[in-house]
Amino acid sequence: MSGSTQSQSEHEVAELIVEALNLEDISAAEIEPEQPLFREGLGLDSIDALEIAMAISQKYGFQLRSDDPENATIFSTLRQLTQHIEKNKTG
Amino acid sequence: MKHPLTNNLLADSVVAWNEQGIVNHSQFLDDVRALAARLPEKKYAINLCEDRYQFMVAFAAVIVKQQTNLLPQSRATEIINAIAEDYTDSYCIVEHAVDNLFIEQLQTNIKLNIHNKTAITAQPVIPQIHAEHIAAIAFTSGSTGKPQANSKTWHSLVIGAQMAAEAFGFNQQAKHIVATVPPQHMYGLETSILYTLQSGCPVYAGRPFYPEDIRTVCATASAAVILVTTPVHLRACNKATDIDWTNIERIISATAPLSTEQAEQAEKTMHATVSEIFGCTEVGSMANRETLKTQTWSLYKGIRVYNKNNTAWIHAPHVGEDVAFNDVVEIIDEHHFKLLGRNSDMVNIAGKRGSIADITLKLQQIDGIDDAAVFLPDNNNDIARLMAFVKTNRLNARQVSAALTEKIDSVFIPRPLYIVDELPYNATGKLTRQALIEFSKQFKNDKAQHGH
Repeated sequence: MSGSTQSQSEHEVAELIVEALNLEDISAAEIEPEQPLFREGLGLDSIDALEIAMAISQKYGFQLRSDDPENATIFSTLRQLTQHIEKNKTG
Repeated sequence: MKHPLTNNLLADSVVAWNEQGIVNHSQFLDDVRALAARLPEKKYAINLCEDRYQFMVAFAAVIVKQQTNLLPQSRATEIINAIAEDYTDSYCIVEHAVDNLFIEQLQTNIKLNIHNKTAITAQPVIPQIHAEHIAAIAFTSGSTGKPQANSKTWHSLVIGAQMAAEAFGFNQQAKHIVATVPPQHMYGLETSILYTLQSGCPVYAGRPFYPEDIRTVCATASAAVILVTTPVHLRACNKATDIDWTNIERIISATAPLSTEQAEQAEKTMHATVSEIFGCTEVGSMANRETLKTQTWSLYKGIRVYNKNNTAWIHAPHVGEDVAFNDVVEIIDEHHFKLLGRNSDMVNIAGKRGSIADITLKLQQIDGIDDAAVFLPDNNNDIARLMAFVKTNRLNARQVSAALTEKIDSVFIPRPLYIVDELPYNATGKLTRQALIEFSKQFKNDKAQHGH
Protein backbone atom coordinates (compact mmCIF):
# COMPACT_ATOMS: atom_id res chain seq x y z
CA MET A 1 0.00 0.00 0.00
CA SER A 2 1.41 3.38 -0.90
CA GLY A 3 2.46 5.75 1.87
CA SER A 4 -0.07 8.51 1.81
CA THR A 5 -3.21 7.01 0.26
CA GLN A 6 -5.92 5.91 2.64
CA SER A 7 -7.20 2.38 2.22
CA GLN A 8 -10.95 1.92 2.51
CA SER A 9 -10.76 0.73 6.12
CA GLU A 10 -8.41 3.59 6.99
CA HIS A 11 -10.87 6.02 5.52
CA GLU A 12 -13.62 4.50 7.63
CA VAL A 13 -11.54 4.95 10.81
CA ALA A 14 -10.59 8.47 9.73
CA GLU A 15 -14.27 9.29 9.41
CA LEU A 16 -14.90 7.87 12.87
CA ILE A 17 -12.11 10.07 14.32
CA VAL A 18 -13.37 13.22 12.62
CA GLU A 19 -16.90 12.52 13.84
CA ALA A 20 -15.95 11.47 17.39
CA LEU A 21 -13.75 14.51 17.91
CA ASN A 22 -15.82 17.09 16.11
CA LEU A 23 -12.88 18.00 13.91
CA GLU A 24 -14.77 20.59 11.93
CA ASP A 25 -11.70 22.11 10.36
CA ILE A 26 -10.40 18.89 8.84
CA SER A 27 -12.00 16.22 6.66
CA ALA A 28 -11.45 12.48 6.96
CA ALA A 29 -9.61 12.37 3.64
CA GLU A 30 -7.08 14.91 4.88
CA ILE A 31 -5.72 12.66 7.66
CA GLU A 32 -2.43 11.27 6.42
CA PRO A 33 -2.21 7.54 7.21
CA GLU A 34 1.42 7.77 8.37
CA GLN A 35 1.22 11.13 10.13
CA PRO A 36 1.25 11.10 13.95
CA LEU A 37 -2.26 11.53 15.36
CA PHE A 38 -1.10 13.06 18.62
CA ARG A 39 1.05 16.11 19.28
CA GLU A 40 2.64 17.30 16.03
CA GLY A 41 0.13 15.80 13.63
CA LEU A 42 -3.48 16.36 14.54
CA GLY A 43 -2.40 17.51 17.98
CA LEU A 44 -4.75 15.17 19.81
CA ASP A 45 -4.59 14.69 23.58
CA SER A 46 -5.68 12.17 26.19
CA ILE A 47 -9.33 13.22 26.21
CA ASP A 48 -9.30 12.52 22.49
CA ALA A 49 -7.85 9.08 23.11
CA LEU A 50 -10.81 8.35 25.40
CA GLU A 51 -13.28 9.71 22.86
CA ILE A 52 -11.78 7.61 20.08
CA ALA A 53 -11.80 4.56 22.36
CA MET A 54 -15.52 5.08 23.03
CA ALA A 55 -16.30 5.40 19.33
CA ILE A 56 -14.24 2.29 18.53
CA SER A 57 -15.95 0.17 21.17
CA GLN A 58 -19.35 1.20 19.85
CA LYS A 59 -18.58 0.63 16.21
CA TYR A 60 -16.20 -2.33 16.34
CA GLY A 61 -17.32 -4.04 19.53
CA PHE A 62 -14.11 -4.24 21.55
CA GLN A 63 -12.60 -2.25 24.41
CA LEU A 64 -9.14 -0.72 24.21
CA ARG A 65 -6.81 -1.43 27.13
CA SER A 66 -3.70 0.38 28.31
CA ASP A 67 -1.89 -2.75 29.30
CA ASP A 68 -1.80 -3.88 25.70
CA PRO A 69 1.95 -4.19 25.09
CA GLU A 70 1.52 -2.45 21.74
CA ASN A 71 -0.42 0.39 23.23
CA ALA A 72 2.11 3.11 22.55
CA THR A 73 2.03 2.36 18.85
CA ILE A 74 -1.71 1.67 18.43
CA PHE A 75 -2.57 5.33 18.37
CA SER A 76 0.58 6.62 16.74
CA THR A 77 -0.90 6.86 13.24
CA LEU A 78 -4.17 6.26 11.44
CA ARG A 79 -2.58 3.21 9.80
CA GLN A 80 -1.52 1.64 13.12
CA LEU A 81 -4.91 2.32 14.69
CA THR A 82 -6.71 0.78 11.70
CA GLN A 83 -4.51 -2.33 11.84
CA HIS A 84 -5.26 -2.71 15.54
CA ILE A 85 -8.98 -2.43 14.87
CA GLU A 86 -8.81 -4.97 12.02
CA LYS A 87 -7.13 -7.44 14.38
CA ASN A 88 -9.56 -6.97 17.25
CA LYS A 89 -12.98 -6.13 15.88
CA THR A 90 -15.77 -8.51 16.69
CA GLY A 91 -18.46 -7.64 14.22
CA MET B 1 3.90 21.97 65.81
CA LYS B 2 4.44 18.80 63.83
CA HIS B 3 2.20 16.27 62.09
CA PRO B 4 3.25 12.68 61.43
CA LEU B 5 3.95 11.61 57.85
CA THR B 6 1.40 8.81 58.21
CA ASN B 7 -1.66 8.26 60.34
CA ASN B 8 -4.12 5.44 60.93
CA LEU B 9 -1.71 2.83 59.59
CA LEU B 10 -0.34 -0.20 61.40
CA ALA B 11 3.05 -1.64 60.51
CA ASP B 12 1.53 -4.21 58.17
CA SER B 13 -1.35 -2.10 56.82
CA VAL B 14 -1.46 -2.05 53.04
CA VAL B 15 -0.37 1.29 51.59
CA ALA B 16 -0.46 0.48 47.89
CA TRP B 17 -1.03 -2.43 45.55
CA ASN B 18 -0.62 -3.36 41.93
CA GLU B 19 -0.67 -6.50 39.79
CA GLN B 20 2.64 -7.61 41.29
CA GLY B 21 1.58 -7.44 44.91
CA ILE B 22 1.20 -5.13 47.85
CA VAL B 23 3.34 -2.77 49.86
CA ASN B 24 2.81 -2.38 53.58
CA HIS B 25 3.34 0.62 55.80
CA SER B 26 6.65 -0.60 57.18
CA GLN B 27 8.06 -1.25 53.70
CA PHE B 28 6.81 2.15 52.55
CA LEU B 29 8.65 3.92 55.38
CA ASP B 30 11.82 1.98 54.51
CA ASP B 31 11.47 3.06 50.86
CA VAL B 32 10.96 6.68 51.95
CA ARG B 33 14.06 6.64 54.16
CA ALA B 34 16.17 5.01 51.47
CA LEU B 35 15.13 7.54 48.83
CA ALA B 36 15.46 10.52 51.21
CA ALA B 37 19.07 9.52 51.80
CA ARG B 38 19.75 9.71 48.06
CA LEU B 39 18.17 13.10 47.41
CA PRO B 40 20.47 15.92 46.30
CA GLU B 41 21.00 18.80 48.74
CA LYS B 42 18.57 21.12 47.03
CA LYS B 43 15.44 22.96 48.00
CA TYR B 44 12.90 21.86 45.42
CA ALA B 45 12.07 18.57 43.73
CA ILE B 46 9.90 18.54 40.61
CA ASN B 47 8.02 15.31 41.22
CA LEU B 48 7.20 13.81 37.82
CA CYS B 49 6.60 10.20 38.90
CA GLU B 50 3.62 8.67 37.12
CA ASP B 51 3.29 5.50 39.14
CA ARG B 52 1.33 6.47 42.22
CA TYR B 53 3.46 4.46 44.65
CA GLN B 54 6.70 5.90 43.30
CA PHE B 55 5.15 9.35 43.44
CA MET B 56 4.10 8.80 47.06
CA VAL B 57 7.54 7.59 48.13
CA ALA B 58 9.17 10.53 46.34
CA PHE B 59 6.64 12.99 47.78
CA ALA B 60 7.25 11.72 51.30
CA ALA B 61 11.05 11.51 50.93
CA VAL B 62 11.14 15.12 49.74
CA ILE B 63 9.25 16.45 52.75
CA VAL B 64 11.11 14.22 55.21
CA LYS B 65 14.27 15.84 53.83
CA GLN B 66 12.60 19.26 54.41
CA GLN B 67 12.44 19.98 50.71
CA THR B 68 9.41 21.04 48.66
CA ASN B 69 7.61 19.08 45.94
CA LEU B 70 6.93 21.09 42.78
CA LEU B 71 3.89 19.72 40.96
CA PRO B 72 3.47 20.87 37.35
CA GLN B 73 0.12 20.39 35.62
CA SER B 74 1.75 19.10 32.52
CA ARG B 75 4.85 17.12 31.61
CA ALA B 76 5.53 19.33 28.59
CA THR B 77 9.28 19.97 28.43
CA GLU B 78 8.82 23.74 28.07
CA ILE B 79 6.71 23.86 31.22
CA ILE B 80 9.20 21.85 33.30
CA ASN B 81 12.11 23.92 32.02
CA ALA B 82 10.23 27.14 32.81
CA ILE B 83 9.66 25.99 36.39
CA ALA B 84 13.30 24.96 36.69
CA GLU B 85 14.30 28.46 35.58
CA ASP B 86 12.16 30.06 38.29
CA TYR B 87 13.24 27.61 40.99
CA THR B 88 16.96 27.48 40.39
CA ASP B 89 17.70 25.27 43.38
CA SER B 90 15.67 22.36 42.01
CA TYR B 91 15.96 18.91 40.45
CA CYS B 92 13.51 16.39 38.98
CA ILE B 93 12.43 13.06 40.42
CA VAL B 94 11.45 10.63 37.68
CA GLU B 95 10.98 6.91 37.18
CA HIS B 96 12.72 6.97 33.82
CA ALA B 97 15.00 9.62 32.36
CA VAL B 98 13.11 12.33 30.45
CA ASP B 99 14.63 13.83 27.28
CA ASN B 100 15.37 17.51 26.77
CA LEU B 101 15.19 18.66 30.39
CA PHE B 102 17.84 21.24 31.35
CA ILE B 103 17.87 20.06 34.93
CA GLU B 104 19.32 17.33 37.12
CA GLN B 105 17.20 14.17 37.13
CA LEU B 106 17.08 11.66 39.96
CA GLN B 107 15.58 8.27 39.17
CA THR B 108 13.55 6.66 41.94
CA ASN B 109 14.89 3.14 41.37
CA ILE B 110 12.20 1.70 43.60
CA LYS B 111 11.58 -1.86 42.58
CA LEU B 112 8.35 -2.13 40.67
CA ASN B 113 7.73 -5.66 41.83
CA ILE B 114 6.00 -4.62 44.99
CA HIS B 115 6.41 -7.27 47.63
CA ASN B 116 4.72 -8.28 50.81
CA LYS B 117 6.99 -8.25 53.81
CA THR B 118 6.51 -10.95 56.37
CA ALA B 119 4.41 -10.09 59.39
CA ILE B 120 5.82 -7.23 61.40
CA THR B 121 5.05 -6.67 65.02
CA ALA B 122 7.10 -3.60 65.94
CA GLN B 123 5.40 -0.29 65.22
CA PRO B 124 7.73 1.57 62.83
CA VAL B 125 9.15 5.01 63.55
CA ILE B 126 7.02 7.56 61.72
CA PRO B 127 8.77 10.75 60.59
CA GLN B 128 7.33 13.97 62.01
CA ILE B 129 6.99 16.91 59.62
CA HIS B 130 6.84 20.58 60.65
CA ALA B 131 3.28 21.84 60.21
CA GLU B 132 4.41 25.04 58.49
CA HIS B 133 6.80 23.29 56.08
CA ILE B 134 5.82 23.94 52.43
CA ALA B 135 5.26 20.35 51.39
CA ALA B 136 4.20 21.11 47.83
CA ILE B 137 3.73 23.88 45.33
CA ALA B 138 1.01 23.10 42.80
CA PHE B 139 1.04 25.00 39.53
CA THR B 140 -2.03 26.14 37.63
CA SER B 141 -2.10 28.32 34.55
CA GLY B 142 -2.62 31.91 35.59
CA SER B 143 -4.10 34.83 33.73
CA THR B 144 -0.74 36.57 33.50
CA GLY B 145 0.61 33.86 31.24
CA LYS B 146 2.96 32.37 33.81
CA PRO B 147 1.93 29.28 35.75
CA GLN B 148 0.56 30.31 39.12
CA ALA B 149 2.27 28.76 42.13
CA ASN B 150 0.06 27.59 45.01
CA SER B 151 1.99 26.73 48.14
CA LYS B 152 0.66 23.99 50.39
CA THR B 153 1.87 23.69 53.95
CA TRP B 154 2.02 20.20 55.43
CA HIS B 155 -0.57 21.41 57.96
CA SER B 156 -3.07 22.42 55.27
CA LEU B 157 -2.68 19.08 53.48
CA VAL B 158 -3.06 17.04 56.67
CA ILE B 159 -6.08 18.96 57.96
CA GLY B 160 -7.69 18.93 54.49
CA ALA B 161 -7.31 15.14 54.36
CA GLN B 162 -8.75 14.77 57.88
CA MET B 163 -11.76 16.89 56.96
CA ALA B 164 -12.39 14.81 53.82
CA ALA B 165 -11.99 11.61 55.83
CA GLU B 166 -14.67 12.77 58.22
CA ALA B 167 -17.00 13.83 55.40
CA PHE B 168 -16.62 10.46 53.61
CA GLY B 169 -16.45 8.31 56.73
CA PHE B 170 -12.92 6.98 56.13
CA ASN B 171 -12.30 7.41 59.85
CA GLN B 172 -14.58 4.50 60.59
CA GLN B 173 -13.20 2.37 57.79
CA ALA B 174 -10.29 2.86 55.42
CA LYS B 175 -11.26 2.27 51.79
CA HIS B 176 -9.32 1.00 48.79
CA ILE B 177 -8.79 3.79 46.29
CA VAL B 178 -8.44 3.57 42.51
CA ALA B 179 -7.78 6.88 40.78
CA THR B 180 -7.72 7.96 37.16
CA VAL B 181 -6.39 11.42 38.01
CA PRO B 182 -2.66 12.23 38.19
CA PRO B 183 -1.12 12.76 41.65
CA GLN B 184 0.45 16.04 40.45
CA HIS B 185 -3.03 17.57 40.32
CA MET B 186 -4.35 18.89 43.68
CA TYR B 187 -7.45 16.70 43.48
CA GLY B 188 -5.33 13.64 42.71
CA LEU B 189 -2.81 14.54 45.41
CA GLU B 190 -5.47 14.80 48.09
CA THR B 191 -7.51 11.76 47.15
CA SER B 192 -4.85 9.29 46.11
CA ILE B 193 -1.84 10.31 48.20
CA LEU B 194 -3.07 12.09 51.32
CA TYR B 195 -6.08 9.83 51.92
CA THR B 196 -3.51 7.05 51.98
CA LEU B 197 -0.93 8.76 54.18
CA GLN B 198 -3.40 10.29 56.63
CA SER B 199 -6.48 8.07 56.56
CA GLY B 200 -4.87 4.74 55.84
CA CYS B 201 -6.71 4.14 52.55
CA PRO B 202 -4.70 1.71 50.37
CA VAL B 203 -4.23 3.06 46.85
CA TYR B 204 -3.77 1.32 43.49
CA ALA B 205 -0.28 2.23 42.26
CA GLY B 206 -1.19 2.53 38.59
CA ARG B 207 -3.39 4.93 36.73
CA PRO B 208 -6.06 3.07 34.77
CA PHE B 209 -7.11 4.99 31.69
CA TYR B 210 -9.61 3.20 29.45
CA PRO B 211 -12.91 1.95 30.90
CA GLU B 212 -11.76 -1.65 30.52
CA ASP B 213 -8.58 -0.85 32.52
CA ILE B 214 -10.67 0.70 35.27
CA ARG B 215 -13.00 -2.28 35.36
CA THR B 216 -10.16 -4.78 35.66
CA VAL B 217 -8.41 -2.89 38.45
CA CYS B 218 -11.62 -2.45 40.45
CA ALA B 219 -12.82 -6.02 39.91
CA THR B 220 -9.54 -7.51 41.11
CA ALA B 221 -9.08 -5.31 44.19
CA SER B 222 -9.23 -7.19 47.48
CA ALA B 223 -12.08 -5.01 48.80
CA ALA B 224 -14.76 -2.75 47.34
CA VAL B 225 -13.11 0.39 45.97
CA ILE B 226 -13.68 4.09 45.83
CA LEU B 227 -13.15 5.19 42.24
CA VAL B 228 -11.70 8.70 42.10
CA THR B 229 -12.28 10.15 38.67
CA THR B 230 -13.60 13.00 36.53
CA PRO B 231 -16.71 13.64 34.39
CA VAL B 232 -14.60 12.94 31.30
CA HIS B 233 -13.77 9.42 32.45
CA LEU B 234 -17.23 8.73 33.81
CA ARG B 235 -18.75 9.60 30.48
CA ALA B 236 -16.42 7.12 28.79
CA CYS B 237 -17.32 4.45 31.36
CA ASN B 238 -21.03 5.12 30.86
CA LYS B 239 -20.66 4.66 27.12
CA ALA B 240 -18.90 1.32 27.51
CA THR B 241 -22.22 -0.45 27.83
CA ASP B 242 -20.80 -3.95 27.34
CA ILE B 243 -18.70 -3.75 30.52
CA ASP B 244 -19.87 -5.50 33.69
CA TRP B 245 -18.85 -3.35 36.63
CA THR B 246 -18.27 -4.92 40.01
CA ASN B 247 -16.63 -4.14 43.32
CA ILE B 248 -17.05 -0.34 43.25
CA GLU B 249 -18.66 1.11 46.35
CA ARG B 250 -18.48 4.80 45.63
CA ILE B 251 -17.47 7.01 42.73
CA ILE B 252 -15.99 10.38 43.50
CA SER B 253 -15.93 12.92 40.69
CA ALA B 254 -14.37 16.37 40.63
CA THR B 255 -12.70 19.00 38.42
CA ALA B 256 -15.94 19.89 36.59
CA PRO B 257 -19.65 19.66 37.28
CA LEU B 258 -21.12 16.23 36.62
CA SER B 259 -24.49 16.19 34.89
CA THR B 260 -27.39 14.44 36.58
CA GLU B 261 -27.76 12.17 33.53
CA GLN B 262 -24.17 10.97 33.72
CA ALA B 263 -24.44 10.47 37.49
CA GLU B 264 -27.68 8.52 37.11
CA GLN B 265 -26.26 6.25 34.48
CA ALA B 266 -23.05 5.70 36.42
CA GLU B 267 -25.00 4.69 39.53
CA LYS B 268 -27.12 2.30 37.49
CA THR B 269 -24.41 0.59 35.45
CA MET B 270 -21.53 0.75 37.91
CA HIS B 271 -23.66 -0.08 40.97
CA ALA B 272 -22.08 2.61 43.12
CA THR B 273 -23.02 5.84 44.83
CA VAL B 274 -21.83 8.92 42.96
CA SER B 275 -20.39 11.76 45.03
CA GLU B 276 -18.74 14.94 43.91
CA ILE B 277 -16.03 16.97 45.58
CA PHE B 278 -15.86 20.72 45.24
CA GLY B 279 -12.58 22.49 45.65
CA CYS B 280 -10.33 25.23 44.43
CA THR B 281 -6.59 25.44 44.07
CA GLU B 282 -6.14 27.77 47.03
CA VAL B 283 -8.12 25.74 49.59
CA GLY B 284 -8.07 22.26 48.10
CA SER B 285 -11.19 20.17 48.41
CA MET B 286 -13.72 21.76 50.73
CA ALA B 287 -17.21 20.39 50.15
CA ASN B 288 -18.99 17.31 48.88
CA ARG B 289 -22.44 16.16 47.86
CA GLU B 290 -24.16 13.06 46.60
CA THR B 291 -24.98 14.17 43.09
CA LEU B 292 -28.37 12.47 42.78
CA LYS B 293 -29.54 13.30 46.28
CA THR B 294 -29.01 17.03 46.43
CA GLN B 295 -27.88 20.16 44.61
CA THR B 296 -26.57 21.49 47.91
CA TRP B 297 -22.88 21.26 48.72
CA SER B 298 -21.91 20.55 52.34
CA LEU B 299 -18.70 22.19 53.42
CA TYR B 300 -16.27 20.04 55.37
CA LYS B 301 -16.51 20.57 59.12
CA GLY B 302 -14.56 23.68 60.09
CA ILE B 303 -14.94 25.46 56.73
CA ARG B 304 -17.44 28.33 56.40
CA VAL B 305 -18.88 30.32 53.52
CA TYR B 306 -19.96 33.94 53.99
CA ASN B 307 -21.01 36.93 51.95
CA LYS B 308 -18.97 40.11 51.79
CA ASN B 309 -19.70 42.87 49.29
CA ASN B 310 -21.85 40.53 47.20
CA THR B 311 -19.08 38.02 46.83
CA ALA B 312 -19.05 34.61 48.47
CA TRP B 313 -15.93 33.97 50.53
CA ILE B 314 -14.52 30.81 52.01
CA HIS B 315 -13.03 30.75 55.47
CA ALA B 316 -10.86 27.68 55.96
CA PRO B 317 -8.79 27.88 59.16
CA HIS B 318 -6.11 25.49 57.86
CA VAL B 319 -5.31 27.62 54.81
CA GLY B 320 -4.66 31.11 56.12
CA GLU B 321 -6.31 33.90 54.20
CA ASP B 322 -9.94 33.67 53.17
CA VAL B 323 -10.56 33.01 49.50
CA ALA B 324 -13.22 34.48 47.20
CA PHE B 325 -15.22 31.98 45.17
CA ASN B 326 -14.33 31.69 41.50
CA ASP B 327 -17.93 30.71 40.90
CA VAL B 328 -21.30 32.30 41.36
CA VAL B 329 -22.91 30.66 44.41
CA GLU B 330 -26.04 30.86 46.50
CA ILE B 331 -25.24 30.70 50.20
CA ILE B 332 -27.80 28.58 52.06
CA ASP B 333 -26.16 28.80 55.47
CA GLU B 334 -22.56 29.03 56.59
CA HIS B 335 -21.98 25.34 55.91
CA HIS B 336 -24.01 24.91 52.72
CA PHE B 337 -24.15 26.47 49.28
CA LYS B 338 -25.40 25.87 45.74
CA LEU B 339 -23.40 26.51 42.58
CA LEU B 340 -25.20 28.82 40.20
CA GLY B 341 -22.58 29.29 37.53
CA ARG B 342 -18.96 29.41 36.69
CA ASN B 343 -16.84 32.50 36.46
CA SER B 344 -16.61 33.18 32.75
CA ASP B 345 -12.85 33.54 32.40
CA MET B 346 -11.64 30.42 34.19
CA VAL B 347 -12.27 27.14 32.42
CA ASN B 348 -11.63 23.66 33.62
CA ILE B 349 -10.88 21.09 30.97
CA ALA B 350 -9.96 17.55 31.92
CA GLY B 351 -9.02 18.77 35.38
CA LYS B 352 -6.75 21.50 34.13
CA ARG B 353 -7.61 25.07 34.96
CA GLY B 354 -6.93 27.75 32.40
CA SER B 355 -7.81 31.35 31.81
CA ILE B 356 -9.53 32.18 28.53
CA ALA B 357 -7.94 35.64 28.61
CA ASP B 358 -4.52 34.06 28.95
CA ILE B 359 -5.08 31.57 26.14
CA THR B 360 -6.42 34.36 23.90
CA LEU B 361 -3.33 36.43 24.62
CA LYS B 362 -1.02 33.53 23.76
CA LEU B 363 -2.90 33.00 20.52
CA GLN B 364 -2.72 36.69 19.60
CA GLN B 365 1.02 36.69 20.23
CA ILE B 366 1.73 34.05 17.59
CA ASP B 367 3.68 35.50 14.70
CA GLY B 368 1.39 36.00 11.70
CA ILE B 369 -1.85 36.32 13.67
CA ASP B 370 -3.62 39.67 13.43
CA ASP B 371 -6.39 39.04 15.94
CA ALA B 372 -8.04 36.15 17.75
CA ALA B 373 -10.92 35.32 20.05
CA VAL B 374 -11.31 32.26 22.27
CA PHE B 375 -14.49 31.20 24.03
CA LEU B 376 -16.23 28.26 25.62
CA PRO B 377 -19.26 27.25 23.54
CA ASP B 378 -22.44 25.89 25.08
CA ASN B 379 -21.57 22.42 26.03
CA ASN B 380 -24.07 19.72 25.31
CA ASN B 381 -22.08 16.55 25.74
CA ASP B 382 -20.21 17.06 29.02
CA ILE B 383 -16.88 17.56 27.33
CA ALA B 384 -15.95 21.20 27.33
CA ARG B 385 -13.72 22.33 24.49
CA LEU B 386 -12.67 25.84 23.70
CA MET B 387 -13.42 27.28 20.28
CA ALA B 388 -11.50 30.04 18.50
CA PHE B 389 -11.70 32.47 15.61
CA VAL B 390 -8.39 33.64 14.23
CA LYS B 391 -7.71 36.45 11.83
CA THR B 392 -4.62 35.72 9.78
CA ASN B 393 -3.71 35.65 6.12
CA ARG B 394 -0.44 33.82 6.62
CA LEU B 395 -1.35 30.68 8.55
CA ASN B 396 -3.86 27.86 8.24
CA ALA B 397 -5.78 26.38 11.17
CA ARG B 398 -3.37 23.52 11.65
CA GLN B 399 -0.32 25.79 11.71
CA VAL B 400 -2.00 27.96 14.31
CA SER B 401 -2.82 24.93 16.47
CA ALA B 402 0.72 23.63 16.15
CA ALA B 403 2.18 26.98 17.21
CA LEU B 404 -0.19 27.17 20.16
CA THR B 405 0.62 23.61 21.27
CA GLU B 406 4.13 24.80 22.12
CA LYS B 407 2.75 27.40 24.50
CA ILE B 408 -0.18 25.81 26.30
CA ASP B 409 -1.37 22.41 27.43
CA SER B 410 -2.99 20.54 24.55
CA VAL B 411 -6.38 20.22 26.29
CA PHE B 412 -6.76 23.98 25.88
CA ILE B 413 -6.11 23.98 22.12
CA PRO B 414 -9.34 25.39 20.68
CA ARG B 415 -11.27 23.05 18.46
CA PRO B 416 -12.65 23.89 16.05
CA LEU B 417 -10.35 26.77 15.28
CA TYR B 418 -11.67 28.80 12.37
CA ILE B 419 -9.65 31.21 10.22
CA VAL B 420 -11.85 34.25 9.58
CA ASP B 421 -11.65 37.59 7.78
CA GLU B 422 -13.18 39.59 10.62
CA LEU B 423 -14.13 38.97 14.23
CA PRO B 424 -17.71 39.79 15.30
CA TYR B 425 -16.99 42.94 17.29
CA ASN B 426 -20.10 44.87 18.33
CA ALA B 427 -20.68 48.59 17.90
CA THR B 428 -18.83 49.40 21.10
CA GLY B 429 -15.82 47.38 20.01
CA LYS B 430 -16.51 44.44 22.30
CA LEU B 431 -16.48 40.75 21.55
CA THR B 432 -19.24 39.13 23.58
CA ARG B 433 -19.49 35.42 24.15
CA GLN B 434 -23.02 35.53 22.74
CA ALA B 435 -21.79 37.16 19.52
CA LEU B 436 -19.08 34.52 19.22
CA ILE B 437 -21.61 31.73 19.70
CA GLU B 438 -23.90 33.21 17.03
CA PHE B 439 -20.91 33.62 14.73
CA SER B 440 -19.96 29.97 15.23
CA LYS B 441 -23.47 28.83 14.25
CA GLN B 442 -23.03 30.61 10.93
CA PHE B 443 -19.86 28.63 10.38
CA LYS B 444 -21.52 25.34 11.06
CA ASN B 445 -24.30 26.23 8.61
CA ASP B 446 -21.83 27.30 5.95
CA LYS B 447 -19.96 24.07 6.34
CA ALA B 448 -23.15 22.03 6.05
CA GLN B 449 -24.17 23.91 2.90
CA HIS B 450 -20.84 23.56 1.16
CA GLY B 451 -20.42 19.99 2.28
CA HIS B 452 -16.82 20.84 3.11
